[in-house]
Amino acid sequence: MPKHYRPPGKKKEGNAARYITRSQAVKHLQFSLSSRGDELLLQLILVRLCILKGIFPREPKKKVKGNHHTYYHMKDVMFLKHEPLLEKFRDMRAYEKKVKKALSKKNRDLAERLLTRKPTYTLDMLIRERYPSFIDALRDLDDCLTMVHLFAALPAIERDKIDVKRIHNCRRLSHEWQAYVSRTHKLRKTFISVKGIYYQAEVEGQKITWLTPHALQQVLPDVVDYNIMLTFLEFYETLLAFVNFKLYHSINVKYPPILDPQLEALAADLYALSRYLDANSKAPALESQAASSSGSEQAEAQENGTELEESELRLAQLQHQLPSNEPGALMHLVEDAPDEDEDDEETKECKTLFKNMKFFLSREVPRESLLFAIPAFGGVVSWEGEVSPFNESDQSITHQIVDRPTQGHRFLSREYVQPQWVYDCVNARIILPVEDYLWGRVPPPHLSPFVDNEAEGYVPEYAETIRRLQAAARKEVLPMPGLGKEDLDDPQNLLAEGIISRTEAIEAAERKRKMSILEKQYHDELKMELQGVQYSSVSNANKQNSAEDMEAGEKSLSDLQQVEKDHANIEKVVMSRKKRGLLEAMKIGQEAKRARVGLLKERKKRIEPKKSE
Amino acid sequence: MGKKAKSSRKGKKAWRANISTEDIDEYFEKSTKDALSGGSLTNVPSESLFFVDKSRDLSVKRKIEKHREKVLYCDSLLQRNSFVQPVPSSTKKKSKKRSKEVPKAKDDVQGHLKEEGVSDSGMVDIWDGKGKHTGKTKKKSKPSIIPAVEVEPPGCSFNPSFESHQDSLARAVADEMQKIYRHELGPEPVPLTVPGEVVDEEEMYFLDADNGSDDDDQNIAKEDKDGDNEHENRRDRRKEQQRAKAEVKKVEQLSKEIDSLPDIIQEIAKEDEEKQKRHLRRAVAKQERLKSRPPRLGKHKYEPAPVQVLLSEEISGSLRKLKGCSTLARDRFKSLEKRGLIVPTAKSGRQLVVICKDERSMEEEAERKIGWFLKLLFFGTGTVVAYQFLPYMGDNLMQQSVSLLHVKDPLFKRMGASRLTHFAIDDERRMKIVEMGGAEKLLNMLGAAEDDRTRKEALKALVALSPSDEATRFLHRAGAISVIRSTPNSSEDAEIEKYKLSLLNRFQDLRFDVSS
Repeated sequence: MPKHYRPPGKKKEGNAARYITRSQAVKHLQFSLSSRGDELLLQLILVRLCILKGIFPREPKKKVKGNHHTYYHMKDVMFLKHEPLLEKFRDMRAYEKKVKKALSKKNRDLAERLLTRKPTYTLDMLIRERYPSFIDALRDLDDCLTMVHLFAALPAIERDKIDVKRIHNCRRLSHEWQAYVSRTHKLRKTFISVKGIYYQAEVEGQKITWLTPHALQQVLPDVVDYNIMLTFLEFYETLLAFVNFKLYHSINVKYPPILDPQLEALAADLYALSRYLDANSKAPALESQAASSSGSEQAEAQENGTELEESELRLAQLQHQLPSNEPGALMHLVEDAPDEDEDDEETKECKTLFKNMKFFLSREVPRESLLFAIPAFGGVVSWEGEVSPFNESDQSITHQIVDRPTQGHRFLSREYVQPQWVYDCVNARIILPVEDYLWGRVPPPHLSPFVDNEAEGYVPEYAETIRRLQAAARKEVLPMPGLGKEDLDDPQNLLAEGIISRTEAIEAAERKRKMSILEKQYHDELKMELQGVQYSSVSNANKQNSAEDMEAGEKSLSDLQQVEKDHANIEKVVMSRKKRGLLEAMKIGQEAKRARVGLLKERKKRIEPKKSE
Repeated sequence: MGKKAKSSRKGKKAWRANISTEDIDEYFEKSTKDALSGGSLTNVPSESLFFVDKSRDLSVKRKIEKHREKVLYCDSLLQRNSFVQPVPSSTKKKSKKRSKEVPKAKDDVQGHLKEEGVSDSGMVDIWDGKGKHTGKTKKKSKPSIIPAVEVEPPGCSFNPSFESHQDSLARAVADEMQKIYRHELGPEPVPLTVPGEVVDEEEMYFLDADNGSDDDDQNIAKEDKDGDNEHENRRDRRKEQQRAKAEVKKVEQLSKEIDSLPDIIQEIAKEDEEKQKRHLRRAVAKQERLKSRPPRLGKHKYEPAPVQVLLSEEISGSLRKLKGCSTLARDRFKSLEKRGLIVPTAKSGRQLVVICKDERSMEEEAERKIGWFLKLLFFGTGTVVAYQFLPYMGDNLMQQSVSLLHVKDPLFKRMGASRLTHFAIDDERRMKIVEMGGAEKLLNMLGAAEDDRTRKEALKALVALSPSDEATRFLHRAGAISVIRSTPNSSEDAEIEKYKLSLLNRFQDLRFDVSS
């Protein structure tokens, strides 16, 4: 007997009314109208529908039916109940029965005829419903991209219903996405972990992170329920197709791209796509040229606007017939042409990172990943293969990516670097010195760009080196930011000027201080180098210097901090109880983090002498 | 006007009085009537005679409406169920309307396609803002705050920096060891059969009846009956005295409490503060929990996948030699579970059991995973590092190492032994190990060992214990010498012999009888 007895006929209320268990939901949705029995199948349909509609089980505060049930919210179930797809599923089940009946009656003709007009469904409306605007879709693209990239690398297995066709589709979609990101230089970060390669791109202001598997044979562990995975994949495939469509149209390229069959056959899809993109986005530019000066042959070809498609095809073919070193040049031409003004600062930076560099990939390096990453930062790349744009013997190659212990024949005109160099350059946004990354050497550690060293409070050694290099590189190009020295140097002055932006001022001062320390360090080092002093003594001297600087800064900041403290106290008093609680919780978290950083440092300190022994 | 009575007509044939004047009378009557009522109605125009009644006649209307609204029960049944298709004849109008709408929509799409020039693919830009989405867009709350793609910590890089790698490694070890400990130290499962004697049915009745509670009741009742007046009076008096005493005490207590009011207030304040703190702690803990795992959605708990981190010897710095993870499908599936999108099942949480099936392969796998851990302990900094790296394990690390020797699996035995070797750095700790029963277990392990590696570890641990005189004496008492003597020398491993010799020398130093 339940704890609180409710007389029969009285309405339920509270959690009992708001949540129902999964089997109740199945009953509620009347899956079982058509067929009694096989509960498992019905549950599968429910799970499938839930995944497609984006409805997931919840955890009620009070589990009325017991702890071992899965609960759905009543509203969600009602939402599912009004889904037209439900009807569609029923139709399909009924149709399947027809086919089965025909088959078991040995009526082969009828069965075949029925199979040709099988009812299908589309998920377009669902995508529209779940993502009302394009930004929404982009925001939720992380999982989608990871899943599609994963399935692009999986083997097709009949038993798990993983079709060859679907895998090819996933491959195509993932390449299309990569081609877009690479073409528009939207890639921002890469990180090679044991699990796979993480990428982060920034599309329309949204940071999209995804994970691609390494180019290894993927195994299919049996703990995974592939039915569920495939349902997710189904939705994601549709979503990514629509997103790609929208993105391609935004750069004036026709969406389902027409690829060079030869390239496709040789599994150089990405390259084919990038060529297609280049060719296609060049066409409008040419057209505009034609309007201004109607003289060239290509313009004539372009003038029949009605046969745009054919001419594009021809263009692609023309491009293919060009000698092997030409496409690179063509690609280069296109680089400068399109929408320069639209790009933001970062994209420009990314675009010019590998400018004027020519890469050649050896057989042993991960080709797909590098073919994606290098063009995304403005480089020209080729590889060992039949259809590659240029050969290994090309004299204009500046970098060859190798990953083998010894290199037999070497060209003096180029650098032989390990693939990690490319990724580290991309993350640091500068061209790092190649000495550490030469073939056969153990390169410096590959750091994660996703870690915010400032927030973490712990900066690895190599990150420090990279930062110094970055500062050096910036020094060459543009003067140090923060020219208004008088304002920033004197915090008191700032305080008098405007108390409102106090925190900002503090931050600025801090930044300024750090910058100046760095600058000073750099200058000192240069000086020392001139004098020919050993590095180790330099670092010691530097440490002292920086320590002094720190002290000076602390003094000037101390009264400012006092003011800040008082202000915080007043604010704390004013705050509501809940907010205060939250603040305290945050403080506890920060404390824990600081403790962790301290531990790390201490550990390192302890390890250092051991290493030196 | 009634008929006049027929009178005799004799001689009165021409009498005018007999002429009927009915019509004249009628006319007169009518005209007088009209004159009285105000004019004849036949001449009046019909507009002035009739008018349209525009005031509502509610009752009638209601009646009509009611009849119109009425639906037969059978029809209503069909209407209520949205899954039953309506009978075609009754919805002729509607269907016409729909058929008009559909081509329009088609036109829209086709026109759009023409515009875009993508008619071959059949794809449409669904976010162009043109075809307004009819269904209401519900803003759905995310089921979890965990991001869809969690970036691994920097220690999981293919070429990590030393510190971050150690950090990630330590976490992985802690997870692994926790699993092992939970398996080892957890409560033993309830045995399926209980040894014992069979209880007869007759005896069972006796067992039930042997409560003896009703005897007491009877006694009390007897006393009540037997008690005489004197007895009762005395009891009453005593009761009264007690009551008075209690009252006095109460008053005293009250006055005392009033005196200590500030203290009480302070106490309450303290309690409140504590309560608030506890609440805060709980809130923080809940937030943390939600960050790392989903709410409990079903019967089974979410089990996180092991951290993918390279072992120390696997780090080569070369991308070509990288042993990458090839089970990304599982990772994605776990991520779905972690975000609460799907319910964890028994299958997905059941990894340990699967591995346990094949002990040999498990050992290999575990060794591959934990190999560097052992190495750390061999070459590393011993206890300090272990304490630091394994903060989750608590202080009774030694106890746990000793209990590792219990385990049937030789790998864990070796691990326990090697850890004991590193703990035994001074006499106090050595004795502690002996007190915990470590020495006996090591001897047992040595006796029962089947392979050289295990023997070697056991001997090494014993050698580590032997510098303490007390411990050596204990070992001698436990019959160590015979066990050590009976240990076969290995052809490959010269170290076993070396350990054996050093142990026996030690026994000789303390003048124990070695030859026996």
